[in-house]
Amino acid sequence: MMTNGTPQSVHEQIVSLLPRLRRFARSLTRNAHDADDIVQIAVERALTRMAQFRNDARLDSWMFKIIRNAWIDEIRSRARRAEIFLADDTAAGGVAAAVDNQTDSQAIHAAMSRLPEEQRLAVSLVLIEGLSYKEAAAVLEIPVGTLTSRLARARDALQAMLRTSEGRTT
Amino acid sequence: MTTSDETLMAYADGELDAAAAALVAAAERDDPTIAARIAEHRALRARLRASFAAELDEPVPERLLAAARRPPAPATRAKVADIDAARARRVGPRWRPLLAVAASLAVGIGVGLVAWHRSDSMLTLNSRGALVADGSLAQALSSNFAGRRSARERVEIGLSFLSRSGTYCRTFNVARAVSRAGVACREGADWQIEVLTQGAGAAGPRSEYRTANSSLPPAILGTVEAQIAGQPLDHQGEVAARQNGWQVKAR
Repeated sequence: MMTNGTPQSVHEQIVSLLPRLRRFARSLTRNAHDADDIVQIAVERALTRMAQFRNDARLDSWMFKIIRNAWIDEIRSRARRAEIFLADDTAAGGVAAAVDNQTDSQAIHAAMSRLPEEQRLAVSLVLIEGLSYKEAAAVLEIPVGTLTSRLARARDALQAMLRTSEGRTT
Repeated sequence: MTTSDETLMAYADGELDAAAAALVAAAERDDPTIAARIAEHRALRARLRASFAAELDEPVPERLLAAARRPPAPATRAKVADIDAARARRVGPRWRPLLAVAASLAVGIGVGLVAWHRSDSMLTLNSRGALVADGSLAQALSSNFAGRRSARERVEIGLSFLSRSGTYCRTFNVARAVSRAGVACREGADWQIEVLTQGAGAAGPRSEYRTANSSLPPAILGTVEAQIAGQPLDHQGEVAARQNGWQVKAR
């Protein structure tokens, strides 16, 4: 348990993080339903592991890391059950499809969904969630240099995709 | 001065220390190309933030709020989500009654967590670790006749046959955005999956196997050809086999 602040305040801190946790989980799972399930698992894990939380760390970074690990567990468990074959098809669909007549936001969501996962997570943590390179690297458990190069490649890929979709809609 | 794009990116993200930032700031003033590139990095960041801002305004589901506000759970609950591990855990007789209560609690809490990833499941592992049909797939394998599928059902049985090892086997198709097909053979009360393939996509309505045999993926046809003893069952044969619970009668 955290030494400063009451348990209640930890709960409310997590509540106030929920919108961002859901958003990050979606960029991870690319499926709103999976994302909420993973957030729920992560919240429950976080509350049972509050003792492991360092007071000088950021709660959001710590929770992002728990979410990511929960998703890794889930992927492994699905593979073990071979459910990966029969997992719901909505996971990949929906986002990547129509390019015409889409709003800027849709174009960006579609471009994001087409990034490889490692690049997508770098973008999500740094550019969307506002973590520093160092914090994002810690969440992903990679060196800062690796994070930086993934982010640079992701940006190039996004800009290329967005230029293409703009070319098509104008 | 030459500045790498990664440095410009880090500058745009506010990641450089003061000295390095001052150098890039000077380059930004002097070199329109560099200034344009930095602006591009900043613009992309702003676009991403703006595009994903709307998600923060969506109402948070009640179950997540409840999970966050629930009192800290006892340590034993940390493993609740992993029901398999809970099951596999060995317990001494002294603890058993207590853990039985804990397990039923765990099931209650765990069901919510696990149900979603089982709700749509058509496969599971049986106690021997074999991959077997579950849910609507198991249901269809046990109940449906070949080539007959109501519009609502996702599972269609292709053909049924007696295998060389003396069990009933059936091919199936799961109609989804990405179609899957497989062969399942009756092992006791289970339908054990012999082969499972993933197709490129549902190719329109499928007719009865007798006219659409070629629509079965090669891997499925190969398995059928390798395992079939004699001819596929006709409708009468299927009716008889179903009545007998798909158990082969002792000869």
